[in-house]
Amino acid sequence: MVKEKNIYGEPETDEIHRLLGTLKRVEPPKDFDLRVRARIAKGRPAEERRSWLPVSVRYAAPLFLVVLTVTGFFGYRILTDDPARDSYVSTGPTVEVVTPAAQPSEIQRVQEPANDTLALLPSEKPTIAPERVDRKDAIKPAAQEKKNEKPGGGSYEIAAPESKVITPDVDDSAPVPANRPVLISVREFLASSGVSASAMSAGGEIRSVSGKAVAVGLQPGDVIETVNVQTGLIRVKRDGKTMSFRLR
Amino acid sequence: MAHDNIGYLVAEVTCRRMPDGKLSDHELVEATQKGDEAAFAEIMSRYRSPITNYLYRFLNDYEEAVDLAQETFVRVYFALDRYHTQYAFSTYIYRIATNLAISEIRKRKRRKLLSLTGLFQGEEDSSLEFQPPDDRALPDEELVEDERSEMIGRAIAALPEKYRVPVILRDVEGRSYDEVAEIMQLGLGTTKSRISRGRALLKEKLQNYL
Repeated sequence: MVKEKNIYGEPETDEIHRLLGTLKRVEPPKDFDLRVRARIAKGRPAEERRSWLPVSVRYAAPLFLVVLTVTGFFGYRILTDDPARDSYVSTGPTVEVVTPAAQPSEIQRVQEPANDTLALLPSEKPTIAPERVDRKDAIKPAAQEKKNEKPGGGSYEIAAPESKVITPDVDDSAPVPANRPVLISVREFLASSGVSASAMSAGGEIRSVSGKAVAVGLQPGDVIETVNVQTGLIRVKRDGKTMSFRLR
Repeated sequence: MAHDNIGYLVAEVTCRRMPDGKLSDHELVEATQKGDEAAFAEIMSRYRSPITNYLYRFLNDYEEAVDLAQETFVRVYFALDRYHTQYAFSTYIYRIATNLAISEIRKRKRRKLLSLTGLFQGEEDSSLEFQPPDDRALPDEELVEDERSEMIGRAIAALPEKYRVPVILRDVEGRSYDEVAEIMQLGLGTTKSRISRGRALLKEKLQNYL
């Protein structure tokens, strides 16, 4: 055993050092060399085989793919995320419009507005703000409805009747400006028109109708395609046919 | 067998000899690089015992230690072209053995995590291996010695890796502090500190044998 100085600069006198020095030494088996030779003859160990790709490429390529995927996903969402899209009235050459008082024989054929940016022109600011409809509503209408049924789950329909009405301390007699915008969402518009749908937006199926909605001819089972709260037009699909109704 | 063709047993060591008649490790490595199989056989004969003993103390498992010792020589053989003679060969081969042993310990940990049977085994049972009954009548002293050796082996194997490596190299294998530091690629002070700490941990566990 080599006599050396320990960490404290003293000669090696540690008890453990002496104890471990007395341990029996194990010897390899007699065929040790032959086994090593046999392994060598088999070839290089698998772990030793190097990939032909440089290390940088091996790590950079998967990383690049991950970054590309993430960027593409969010980029696509940003590009396709148009807040005003759900309140558009689609351009269509001619559609059927049923007025509240009209009989089936009195179906008129009218031209819908050709301008998709109906509510977005600065000079013609809409008095009714277009509601941005979450795509989840369209994809999973049933799930959304279920969520709305939960008490205290944030549903406006449930919360509104239970909420306390707070009267602002303002002078009601003060004149309201004529051009003051009235903010109303698609949900509120449909609800006020007597339409109850699985989702109050495009893609929702009308479950029940009442009041004005019955009068104009909307029926349960119609699937909402577009709603324009400004003009009061609602376009639905019934038995494969697209129909438009005016709710105001 | 494949190794019969190599004919290393009858090959001559073709490099010059040291004054005492023995070749240095570096000379043996150079001869092996030139294709002298007898030189590699000489390297094996010098290091198979210390490497096996070192790995046995590290893993506390003889079969595993022999297997890894063989693997160490295979790796050395295939990596000789990358070996630089400015480093001691013993440092080089111990470093390879240490890396293999550490990998093996980590594999064992993973296996232990995945093993469902591990849930039903106690802490003490996990390190026990099947040992065939020995019919020889052992004297009491030998029994006591065996038990002491077994306990010390378990205590060493239970040390954390960073203390186990330097303690075995220094206290079991008798390597110098400088060499231990080189094998571990650490500073001399850090190495001494780890050895001291490792010994302190062992002292706590082996009070009865001191």
